Amino acid sequence: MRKSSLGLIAIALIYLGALWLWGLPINEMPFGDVDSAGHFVLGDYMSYSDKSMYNLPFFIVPMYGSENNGRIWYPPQYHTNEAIFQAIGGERIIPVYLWVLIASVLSVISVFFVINKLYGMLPAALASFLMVFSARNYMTYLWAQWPQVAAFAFVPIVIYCYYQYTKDNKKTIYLYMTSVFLAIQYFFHPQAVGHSAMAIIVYSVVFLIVNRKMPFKIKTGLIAFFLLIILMLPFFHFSINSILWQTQSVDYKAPITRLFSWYPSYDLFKGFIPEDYFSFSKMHGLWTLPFLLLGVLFLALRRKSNDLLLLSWLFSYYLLIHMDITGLMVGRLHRAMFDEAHIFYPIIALGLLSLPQLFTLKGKAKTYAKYALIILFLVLAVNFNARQAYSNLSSAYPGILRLNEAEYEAATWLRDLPEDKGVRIAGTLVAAKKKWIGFLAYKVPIYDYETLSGEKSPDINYTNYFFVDYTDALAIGRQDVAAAIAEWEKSMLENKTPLYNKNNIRVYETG
Amino acid sequence: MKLDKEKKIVLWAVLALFALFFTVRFGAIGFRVIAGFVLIYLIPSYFLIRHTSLEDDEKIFFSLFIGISIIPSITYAVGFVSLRLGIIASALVLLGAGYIIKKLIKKED
Repeated sequence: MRKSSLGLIAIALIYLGALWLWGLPINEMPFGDVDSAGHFVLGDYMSYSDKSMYNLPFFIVPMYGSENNGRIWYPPQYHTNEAIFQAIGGERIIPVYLWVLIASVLSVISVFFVINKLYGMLPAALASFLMVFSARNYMTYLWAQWPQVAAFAFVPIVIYCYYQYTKDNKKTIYLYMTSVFLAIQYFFHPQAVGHSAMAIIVYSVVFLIVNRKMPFKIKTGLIAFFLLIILMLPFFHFSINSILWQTQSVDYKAPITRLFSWYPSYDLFKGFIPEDYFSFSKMHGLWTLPFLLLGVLFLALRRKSNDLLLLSWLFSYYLLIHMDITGLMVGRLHRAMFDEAHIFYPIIALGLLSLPQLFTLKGKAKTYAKYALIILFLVLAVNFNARQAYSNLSSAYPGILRLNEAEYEAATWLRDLPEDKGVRIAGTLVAAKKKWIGFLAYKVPIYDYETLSGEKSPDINYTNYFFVDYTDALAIGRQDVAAAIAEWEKSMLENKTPLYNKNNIRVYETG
Repeated sequence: MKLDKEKKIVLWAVLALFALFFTVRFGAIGFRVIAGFVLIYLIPSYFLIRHTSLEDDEKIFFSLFIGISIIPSITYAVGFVSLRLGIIASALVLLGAGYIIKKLIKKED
């Protein structure tokens, strides 16, 4: 069997493993934090109405209307894929999550493909194997920053296409493919385009210095640039507001000493990102650090064109995660760090495999040493990274953190009532679930701040329905909370008859 | 420009493995999704680029990455009439474009 066929089998098996692992949280009930319901409902509504969406339906406007003047706030491709998957899957929840799953694990394939082409199958397999357990990647997937996860999977592909073009034969198709893949990145999430572009710029400068010639022909470069503009232009207005917002300067500027620390200060993100996210050992395992350093050293000493490409990519990543020195993109810096595993893991694999070259081993000893190192790598990766990944993914969104069947059924029942209404959700104990209930019901979700803090929700005027939910309180055995909800229900809705009364959930119409 | 026999066998075996995984893990929904994904995304996208000067493995991998973008783009455009119609139209447009490219290349040869 040829190497290319073996490569295909290897990546298929690794990708299948990733699909299994990352697919562990998927069941009939949706999951995800913060914007998950927003990402879900865009595709869900398109599929339900059998129409593409440009202007947001009424029930999404109060929450997301300001993002892009009442229009969808991302280019439509990612969410249209959700709608397509829902249509072909014939069910509401699982097919959408299968699209999210396939797209979120694409990095495993792109890293394998590119490293296989540049360095061969062994480093590619090791790097992509480690990608399967990349904590930063699966955390972002669990948090539901789904379009971003997909967009960053294209970074290695874009860089590879550009690199192929700069090689001696300069096949123009690779430069055009660079443009095509940059545009596709933009369709999914604009931030990822910045990462690819920065890597291309840094590599071009390195290429110019090393080879003393331009990396591309001006005419071909211009055609590729215009191709990129033509592809992006129809979709540019979808996310221009968010691009401006992301790149805007804030009052904070990191001190120059920040250049000597890899990660930004956790103080900037306290409260909404876990501290572990800014820890190398928690994200990658401290055992990878010596191999990473060795890999950098190996690349720097050898300096073949593919080595320079990886080093340029690494340096461009360094520049991007130090943007806080300029005061730009400070609030989005943690998202820039999402690119880390894509570049670190290939270098770690190369560092590991370079180790036998440091010693003068003769004959088969070198081969034995290489395989011993691979076994060591697998043992460490499984023991630290895989075990942690399995633990986190298999236990994601347990208990009341995820919508239960009663809540889902009630929300689906509400969907058939007129759309231009709002539903005030009381009793549901997890904030993200309230958005899920409202959006699954195609109603403006109104949080019951009033019962919690006395403050009125900004969307309170949209209240047409009350959704009184006892299921969470009962699930955690808090009879006192259930009694408090009952008291509140009595005081607010005493003379009303519920339209829906099933499985400890009641829905009232209030006008 | 055609894949050789060994690669074809491996490709179909890999696709069968994926179909098996999705069916076992997610039941009939999983099977419908993976079958639809292959028919609507992968095959039409591969047809679109199979006559380019890219290498064989690049065509296989790129068809996946191109498919997930070009299929929803066309579906979205046609979707203002009907999204479901758009899904079918997008696959047909890619297959048609692939056929035209093939004809043009033959003519040039």
